[in-house]
Amino acid sequence: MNVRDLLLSAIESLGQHKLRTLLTLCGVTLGTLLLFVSISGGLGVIRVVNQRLGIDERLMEISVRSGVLIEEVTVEDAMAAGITQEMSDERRIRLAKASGFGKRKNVTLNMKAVEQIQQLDHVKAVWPSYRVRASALVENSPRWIGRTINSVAPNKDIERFLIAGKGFSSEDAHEVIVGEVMLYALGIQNDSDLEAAIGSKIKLVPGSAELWAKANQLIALDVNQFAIKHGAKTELEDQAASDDNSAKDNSAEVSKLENEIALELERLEQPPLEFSIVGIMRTPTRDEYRLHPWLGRIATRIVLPQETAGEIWRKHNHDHLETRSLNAIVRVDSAEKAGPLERKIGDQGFLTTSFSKLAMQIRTAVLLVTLIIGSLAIGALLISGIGITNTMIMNVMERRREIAILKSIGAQDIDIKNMFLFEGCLIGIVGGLLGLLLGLVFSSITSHTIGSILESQLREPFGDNVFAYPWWIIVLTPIVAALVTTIASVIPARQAAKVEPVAALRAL
Amino acid sequence: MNDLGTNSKSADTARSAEKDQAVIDPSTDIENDSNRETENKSFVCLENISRVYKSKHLSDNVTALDNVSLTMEPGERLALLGKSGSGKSTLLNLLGGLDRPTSGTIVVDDQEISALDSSQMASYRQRTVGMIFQAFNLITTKSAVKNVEMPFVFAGVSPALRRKKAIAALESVGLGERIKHRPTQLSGGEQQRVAIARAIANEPKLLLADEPTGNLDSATAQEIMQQLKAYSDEKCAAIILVTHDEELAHNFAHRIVRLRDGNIVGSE
Repeated sequence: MNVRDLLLSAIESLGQHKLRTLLTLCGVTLGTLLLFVSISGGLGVIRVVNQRLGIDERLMEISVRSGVLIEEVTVEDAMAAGITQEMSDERRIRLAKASGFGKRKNVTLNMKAVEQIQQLDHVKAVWPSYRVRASALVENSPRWIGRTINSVAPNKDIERFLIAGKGFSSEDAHEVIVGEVMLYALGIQNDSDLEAAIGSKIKLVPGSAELWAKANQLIALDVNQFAIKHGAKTELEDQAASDDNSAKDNSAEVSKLENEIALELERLEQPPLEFSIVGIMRTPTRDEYRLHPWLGRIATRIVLPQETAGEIWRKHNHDHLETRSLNAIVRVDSAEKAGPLERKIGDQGFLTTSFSKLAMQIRTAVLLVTLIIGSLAIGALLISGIGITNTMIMNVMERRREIAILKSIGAQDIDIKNMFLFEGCLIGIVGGLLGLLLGLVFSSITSHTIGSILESQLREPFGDNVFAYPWWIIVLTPIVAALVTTIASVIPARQAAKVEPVAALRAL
Repeated sequence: MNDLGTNSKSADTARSAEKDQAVIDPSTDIENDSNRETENKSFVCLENISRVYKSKHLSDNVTALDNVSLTMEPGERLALLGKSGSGKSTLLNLLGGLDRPTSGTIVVDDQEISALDSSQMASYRQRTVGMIFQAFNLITTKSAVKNVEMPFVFAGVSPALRRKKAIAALESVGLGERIKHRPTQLSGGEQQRVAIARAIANEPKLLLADEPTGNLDSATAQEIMQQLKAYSDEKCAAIILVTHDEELAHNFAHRIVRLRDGNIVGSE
């Protein structure tokens, strides 16, 4: 029998018992629906969790900073420390350590340590956080301003926080991103001014505490004036009001500070460094700070590419490279290696933090729930499979006469077997496709509802779909359903093939 | 594409030529004669066939056929007469390839069917033999034409060709106008004619009819028997008719074989 005849025979046979077929189909459809929704939902939730926590990237990051290493205490050290009572050496050492007799050694995360960590296996990159105090003068602005320049790790998506311009062209470009607040304080205030500020030059003078202090005093006076002008009740205004000098007559002080700054600039050995402003950063929201801890205070600082900031930092700290402590992000080449590497770095005395453990726990929990729901769905599909076996066996019993007739006119055992297997497979394919279709409809409706609930709970937009539809789930769902129902039909099909025509016809 | 209708045509033609206006000799080979020279040339040859239905206890075993030998020539019409339980239907089922003998050999058209495996046996049922039952044994959910098409479906014949052959077979039994009717919409006689059409559609050389008129009135029975006779004459097909009806047997058959308790007790 060819496939066409098998298909027609299956359709005809299933059509003879419409109610039975419909009920069987319902079982398969529901089982498939559950399977699809549970797997799709599980994958979707894992994806949403990963996206919202930024786990994919953060799983592979370890934050490292300077720490303390307590050196091993020997028995002799413990005895010398006065712990001479009768006890095991192990307990003696433990007590000595706990009592603080071990030598404590500060472990500084300096440039040398950074280079050593860079050499460890599975370390893809180490990005120290470079911070240097600097005074800045933006082109077309009369005021110097004191700010901290800050590096940003190359894997951080700073561009999403830009309201004008773009990100850095390279990691060693002479480019900066500045915050909208700083520009506002400098008088770059209209929206059109922001766009115009892109590409303008900014002079930076790293170090020079004197210049930094004076520049800050000057800008504080400016801010004070601005606040008074608008009648705002600010802290600065309160301070100004309590001062002997009123806000209105600070022009003398401004001139004085400007002169002092000019003198300070003249005293500098190095000319100011010149950079281009390539982006203007907005102030992140409270939730964004929560979701992206790397933002720290960079919105109020002058942000430089990693390498450029590193160069400035090294030059500025040239004489203190051994002692100057850094914080750094260690990027691991795979999430699985983050845990062991974190332990290895921690064993050297550095303080480490990472999200790998937390993230793995969250992923494990989500995976566990998905597996449980998936198991239930597979159970439902298997139960419908058993139902199909039962129904098909009844079908075989009812059709013994027909089977005997077919055999008497030339049907082979394999023809009869294939007829029943094909019926089972057809139910699986139809039920699987219906289940898939209902699953897609159900998940899109549910996703919308879940999104609305989450939006109201989180009080922030929730654009993610909590269901995932990878291609393989769409392809495999009806295949799995067809496979289950075909397997469920094996026993009935064998029974059908074994029907003895003489016995079946004689029993009529 | 396998065309059942023309299957083994060359052998058939050769045999027909050899026989030329085949004359059925009623006196040929009968029961329990194992030393006949013509045996190997017979179209059907049953040699020392026994069929025992085994039971848990040896004493409960039922011997349906006991060491039966029988031969037939192409085109021969043979009637098997006997009471219920005499072994007629058992003999027919063995020849139809639906059952296997406990001992002995069955050769049909030079094929030892008792030695065929289940797949070859199915092929034998498709190509060589056609069966007609008292209860018609049509598939009630299928139309007349689809019932007749079924043997071709298992033989892998194309839909168009099998439809053509099925319609031709139905027309040959006078049911050309009722091909779309289901068995339940047909009279008993018509149902039996559909069964005949199904049995003869692939032009088998051996037709086995198990009380084909048992459920029919005498007039319809006459028509059915005439159609079987016509087929036998036209295609030079051997027919074995199982019946209780002496008169029917005499009118139809060239030879009558009587069975009693699984033994051939007479031939005429």
